[in-house]
This record gives sequence, C-alpha cells and structure tokens, in this order.
Amino acid sequence: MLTLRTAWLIARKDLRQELRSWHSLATMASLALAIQFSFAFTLGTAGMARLGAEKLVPSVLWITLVFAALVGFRNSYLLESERDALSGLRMAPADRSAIFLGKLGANFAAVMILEAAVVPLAALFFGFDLPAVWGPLAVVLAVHTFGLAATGTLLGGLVNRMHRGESLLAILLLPLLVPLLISAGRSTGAVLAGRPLAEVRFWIVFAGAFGAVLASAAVLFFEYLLEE
Amino acid sequence: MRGLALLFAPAAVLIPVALWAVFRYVPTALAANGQPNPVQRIFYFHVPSAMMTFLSVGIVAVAAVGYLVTRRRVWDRVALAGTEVGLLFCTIVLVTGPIWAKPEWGRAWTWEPRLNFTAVLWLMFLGSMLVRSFSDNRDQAARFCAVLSLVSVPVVVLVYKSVELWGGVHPEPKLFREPAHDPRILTGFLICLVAFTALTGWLVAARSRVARLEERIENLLANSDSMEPVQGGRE
Repeated sequence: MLTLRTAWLIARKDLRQELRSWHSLATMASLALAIQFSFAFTLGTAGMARLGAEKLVPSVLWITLVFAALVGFRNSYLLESERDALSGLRMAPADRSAIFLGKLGANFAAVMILEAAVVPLAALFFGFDLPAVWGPLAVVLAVHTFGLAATGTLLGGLVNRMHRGESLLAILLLPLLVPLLISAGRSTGAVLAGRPLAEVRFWIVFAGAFGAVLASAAVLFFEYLLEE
Repeated sequence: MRGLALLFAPAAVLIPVALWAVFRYVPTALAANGQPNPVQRIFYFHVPSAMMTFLSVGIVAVAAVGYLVTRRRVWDRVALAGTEVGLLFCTIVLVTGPIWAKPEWGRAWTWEPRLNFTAVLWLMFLGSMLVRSFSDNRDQAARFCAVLSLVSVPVVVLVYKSVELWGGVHPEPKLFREPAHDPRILTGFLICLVAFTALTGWLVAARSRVARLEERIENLLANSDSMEPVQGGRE
C-alpha cells in the first residue's frame, strides 16, 4: 500500500512539474510533428495514396510515438538529476520499486497526452476517419502505450545511471519492443480498417501481457539499478 | 589452467571430425528440382550454431541470477563470456542462413520468422555488450547487464511467438519429422552438435579466464597508481 501511495505521489509530482513547464511534452510533440512530416516527404503523395491510410498509418504512428516517447523517458529521470534529487528519492522510506511505478505512471500519462495531439494530426495528414474509429483506437493505443512506457521507464532508468549511457536508450529499447510493435501494427491497422475491437482481442491481450511482464520484471529488478 | 586444457581437448578433436563429416561423410542433398545441392551442407553448421546461441542465452540468464544473488565476480565473467560467445554464434547463424537461402529461395534475406527472431536476438546481445562498455565501473556493468538479461529472457519468448504470427515460411526441421532418407544425415548432424557444444564450453571457459586475468591487471594497475614508480621497473 505504501509503495502504491509513494508511486502515486511521485507520478503526481512528475506530472505537475511537466504540466507547469511543458519542457518534455513540447519537445516530444514537436519531434512527433517533424517525424510525421518526414514520413510524408519521403513517401510522396503518390506513395501515400498507393498505400492508403490503414496500411500507412500504423507504421508512421508507432515509429513516431516510439521516438517521441524516447525523449520523454530520458527526461523523466533528468527531473531528478538536479541537486541529486534521486538520492533523496532513494532514501525515502518506501520500496524502491515505488520510484519505478511512479515514473511509469507519469510517463504513461505523458505519452497518452502526446497521443491526444499526434493521432488527430495523423488523421489530418494521412486521411483516416478518426471519429468513426476513435473508441477501438483509444483502447489499442492505451494498451500498447502501457507496454511502451513500462519498457521505456525501465531502460530510461538504466541508461540514466551511466554517465555516457543516454545514447544507448534507442538501441536497447527497440529490440525489446519488437513484440509490442508487431502487435501495435496489426491491431492499429485492423481498427483503422473499421474492424470491431473483438477481432483484435488476441493482440490486445498479447500487448497487455507484454506490459505486465515488463512492468513486473522492472518492479523486481529496479532496485538493482539504483544501487550506488 | 589444466581445466581449460581438458575442455579444449574435446573441441580440438571434434571440430576436425565435424568438418570431415560435413564434407566427406554425409551424402549430398538433392534440391527440389532433383539436382545435387552441396550448399545444403551449410546446415550442419547453421543449425548447431543456432542451438549454441540458445545455449548461450541460457548460460547468460543463469549467470545473471547467480551474480545478483551471490554478487561473486565469477558469475559476471561467465555472463560476459556467454554474451560474447552468443553473439559469435548468432552472427554465424545470420551469415550462414542467407548463404543457404540465396540459391534455395532466390533471396538472401526473406523476413522469415526464425530469421527475424535471430536478428532481434543479435541486437539484444549487442545491446548487452554496449551497456557493458558504456558502464562507469565493473560493478555497475555487472548489475546492469544482469538486469538487462533477465528482463530480456521473457521478452525473447514473446519475440519468438510474435514473429511467428507476423508470418513467413521456414523449412521445418525435416531431420526429425520424417525419418531421414539416409542415417548418415542424422549421424553427421549429431557429430556437429556435440562438436559445437564442446567448442562452446571451451570458448566460455576461456573467455571467462581471460576476463579474470583482465580484472587482475586492472586491479594491479589501480594499486600501482597510488604507489611511487619503482626505479628500473619493467614497463
């Protein structure tokens, strides 16, 4: 109970800090915008028309989200770098995994906020009918975002502890995300094509299991990352 | 030192035997069009290499648990050795597979499930080695690599499942499915498997020992920094 309460406090602190400064989210959103433009320019209008939204958008959307979220995962621990605030958190009389759970909550919320901006833009740029699919799409996004945030929060904590480690985050994160990306691509494509949520139930469960496995592993092992 | 020699002996004997088996003993396979297909021989190294990659994953996982529980350096050295040997065999799998696939399927890289799985595994081995080389110190490297390996193990299972569902074709291991046309095929394969296992055992042991010597040198250098340079001492 204490762990969850501490986690809630940390998540709330992180989010409040973020929503006052918008440092991280502004960077994430601008990067997401730039990535979507880059996709459009490399594909060309002919390429986009040939592929069609339901084939194109799953890739564009998830690559955009993963790379924009990377920035957030990294910044999430930078919040603690000033005056060694992480040492303070570490000394808090609660389980160390509370720090992970708190950061996970804040990162999950941040990526969901990002998606609230990125997905309508993707609908605008690549032309799919968002009002018709928003319900199933929101479920697919939420489940996969949890897995993404769990993986990113764990690895963000790992690279943050190394002085020169920051550049490693992407190369460590992407191979671990392979199952999630496969699931995200399939299920996002299906709901964009107007299929009901029941048809992608397998992938929803799969992505949920991925998130649960990653989050439990992180809860188990996070304290080893915080040792001095 | 003697233990290492004992491990070296079977590998030193069996690898030449395996080479002999692959090139002289097993019959030349026939391609789908009935023509002799000597490229098929690459499978006697390809499949055991894949198995050794999985064995390395197991070695690294056991060593990671061993290190986090006991905090003894020996476990980390075994993890380091397992990672490097795993990356080596994984590379062999990724090189020999396309060499076989090019004449057989017409394309070297086919985005086929087991190929994808091996490629992802290769990236994970590489990530672990990068973490080790970017770490600030030995203990941090040991802890972080152990955590990364243990987190990766369940993900590897999910990767395997997901790339399968992602779709593709791979020749099913016929060797065990239908009784081989020629018993020499199975015998040759088993010779290679035993030889590669012996090689893996020796490589892991040898690399662990090199790691121990490296640590000793590091410790000696760290201690000598604090002392006055010895007059006339050797470089």
